[in-house]
Parts: sequence; structure tokens; C-alpha cells
Amino acid sequence: MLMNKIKSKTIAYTAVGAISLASVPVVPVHAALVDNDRLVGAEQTLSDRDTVNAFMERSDVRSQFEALGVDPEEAKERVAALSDDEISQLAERINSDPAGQGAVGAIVGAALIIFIVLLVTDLLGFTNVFDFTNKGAANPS
Amino acid sequence: MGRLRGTVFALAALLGLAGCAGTPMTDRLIGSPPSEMAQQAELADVPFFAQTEFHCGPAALAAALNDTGLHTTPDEIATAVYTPGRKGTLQTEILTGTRRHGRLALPVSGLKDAFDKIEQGYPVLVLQNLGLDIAPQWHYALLVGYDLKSEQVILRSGTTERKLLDMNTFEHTWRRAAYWGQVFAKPGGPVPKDTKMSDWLSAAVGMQRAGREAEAEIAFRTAANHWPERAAPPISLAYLQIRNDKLEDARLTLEDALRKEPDHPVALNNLAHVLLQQGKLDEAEKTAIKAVEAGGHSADTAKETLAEIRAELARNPR
Repeated sequence: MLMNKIKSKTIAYTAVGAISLASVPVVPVHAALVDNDRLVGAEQTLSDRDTVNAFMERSDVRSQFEALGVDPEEAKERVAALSDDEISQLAERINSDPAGQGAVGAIVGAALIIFIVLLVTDLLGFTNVFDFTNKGAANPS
Repeated sequence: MGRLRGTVFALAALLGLAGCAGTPMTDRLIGSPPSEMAQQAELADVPFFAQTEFHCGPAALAAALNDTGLHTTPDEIATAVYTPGRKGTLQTEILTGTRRHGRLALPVSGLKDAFDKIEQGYPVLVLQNLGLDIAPQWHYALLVGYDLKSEQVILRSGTTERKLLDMNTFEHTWRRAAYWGQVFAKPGGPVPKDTKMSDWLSAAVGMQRAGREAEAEIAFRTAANHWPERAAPPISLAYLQIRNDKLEDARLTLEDALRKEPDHPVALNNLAHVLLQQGKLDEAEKTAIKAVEAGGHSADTAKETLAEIRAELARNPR
């Protein structure tokens, strides 16, 4: 009975330990190697604090993607593909950066005044929100 | 009455502002067309996917990637690039989506560069603000042609396979998106004309980061062939070799890099590291000293490397 209790506790602690280790940034095996990210990245001298900051920002951006409806595994892969600089920028601007969506959208539900302004700017050729104002003909496809 | 007049003036100012930046790039191309540039070009074979609601990003990127020989669809791409909470695709996700599919996204720098790329056979994926700065409508489209005579551009856009747009209107919508545009290349090349080495290598390292190491390696080799006098391509290649424990290969590659640029701090540091791993301590120390002397942004790392080597030497007295 006692042995079983000790065994299961050991297993539990080991499991917790393993999970904790897995979520801590792995210290690179080759600490004194200049990696390719540094070779091509913005010319900055990196400090240990930068490494920790970068790790936390990655975690932050990953959560933000999940909050925006991206599948967690998918969010992980997207973040992995970003450089430290890209992560820094995205951490601040993920909700305000342009998100291309298409030719129709903002005008639906827009205030009447905006609608009219856009109509005029379309006719003047400064914008291209409406299809029917297009001076260049769209070939029927 | 006063309020109405105020509104009219405000509107007039707004309309004026909308166009007052003008279209300098279009004007320059039409006014003084570069002699070496064709009057018109169109990439008729570029595939087309009609976009579904909010999915212009996946549609444009899928078409661009198919054009490089990949077989993919907007739905498949959407899982990688579309962000539901933003009802659209972020520019960084166009880039990460490209990296994860083993292709290089290379930035274009303005209208002339975009047309040059089209002439060379590369469609340009562009971000446009179809609306105004105060009321933006963000949209991705694929630029596949231009005509300097009719002053128009040709786009795969939305649900229109061949959309003709006045060149200056295009410039207005593109300027509001800070002229963001990308062309796509295969890791084995060819390298588009006028590509900067730093852009090619950044894209290649992006693929490495995204888990496409085989493609990254091919892209580094392509860079080594295309810029034979530069050290950065072999240095990038050597890093992968070190990671895969191919130390002797890495040593030879780094020595090749140093023949091209003898004082390259990163080549020296990483070579010192390799020599240390190989147990060639005296050579390692000499190389690490050179790395420290070479300075640069990795100077601190070079000092670390030298310290590691000296510690190892102390443990193994001759």
C-alpha cells in the first residue's frame, strides 16, 4: 500500500517536473554559436534579457492568436515561423495591423457620409471600393 | 447654414487630401518610360482562385504558390494564414504561410520594380487599401500585368479573373498600403533579377525557422552560387551542418566562407566553435582570438567562445 503510494507520487512529481521543463526555454546547446537568425536579423547585440523577453513575447502572441480564433496547434506553428523582430511588432499590433479581407466589407454598415465620400473618391479614381465605378473595364470571365 | 458650409469645406478638403499625394510613380513611368522596359506585359498563365468572403489573402497566396509549382488551394492555405478574429489575413501571415510551404517571399520596392518582376515572369502579391486612410478597406490581389500605353494594370482580384484598373488608381490604393508587395521564388532558384542577398537569406532562414530545413539548405546553396563572393551563404549552410552534427562538413564550409571574406566575425566565431568540438584546441584558440579581434555585433559571443576554448585547454594541459 505504502509502496504504491510512494510510486504514484514519484510518477506524479516526475510528470510535473517534465511538464515544467518542457515549458521553460531550452538553453541552446551551442551557447557560443552565432545562429542564422542573428546572422540575417536586425543588427543588435543580444543580451540574455532579450532572449527571455523574446520567449515571453512569443507566448503572448500565441495566446493572442488563440484569442482571435486560431487553433492552438496552428497558433504554435505560426509563431514558430516568425522572427524575434516580427514577434515584437505583432505583440503590439496584432489587433490593429491591416488584415486583408476583400473588396466589399467596410462599406456595409458604414456611416452614410463615409459611403458618399467613398463614392466620390471612387469616381475620381482615388479609391476602388465599388465595382461599378471602375473606369477600367473588367473583362467578363 | 454655417454648419452645412463647414461640412462641405471639410468634405472638399478630404477629397482633395485623398488625391493630393498624386501618383508620382505612374507619372514617372508614363512620362519617361525606361528604355529597357517593355510597354506592356501580362502573365496569362497565372492561376486564379475566386475569393470567398474575407478570404482574399488565401485566394491570392494559393494562386501565387501554385504559380511556383506547388499544388494547393485557398482552403488549405486559409488554415495557415486566415485569422478569424480579424476577419482577414495579416501581412506577417502571408510571409509565414509562404515559409511553411517551402517558398521564399521577396519584397518589391515600388511600381517600376513590380513591373520589372512581371516582365521576368513573377506575379506580385500586393496589399491594397481600396478605401481611404480614415476608412480603410484592406485587400490582397495578384498583379499579373501592366500596359504603359493604356495606363492600366491587370489584377487577379476578388472574384474577377482579369480585372483592369487605371494605373494611377492602383498606385493610390497601393500607396496607402505602403507599397507592400511580394514575389515568390523556389529554393532552388532562379533568383529574380535585382534581388538583395539579405532579402533572399532572410526568406531562407524563415523557412528554416518554419521547420522546412531541407528547403532552407537548398536556398542557402542557391545563394552561394548566385553571390559567390559573399560569406553569408556558406555561413548559413554551415550552421545547419553544425546542428546536424556534420562537423567536418561545417569546417570545410566555414573555411570556404573565410576565403571569400577573410575577417568575417561570424565565420571566425563559428569555425572556432567547430574546431573546439573537434578537439583541435590550438587551432580553435587561434581562430577565436581572430574572431574577438574582428569585433562586430557578435563580439560578446566570440569572447564566450574564446573563454570556452581556454577552459578546455586548461583541462587538457599539453
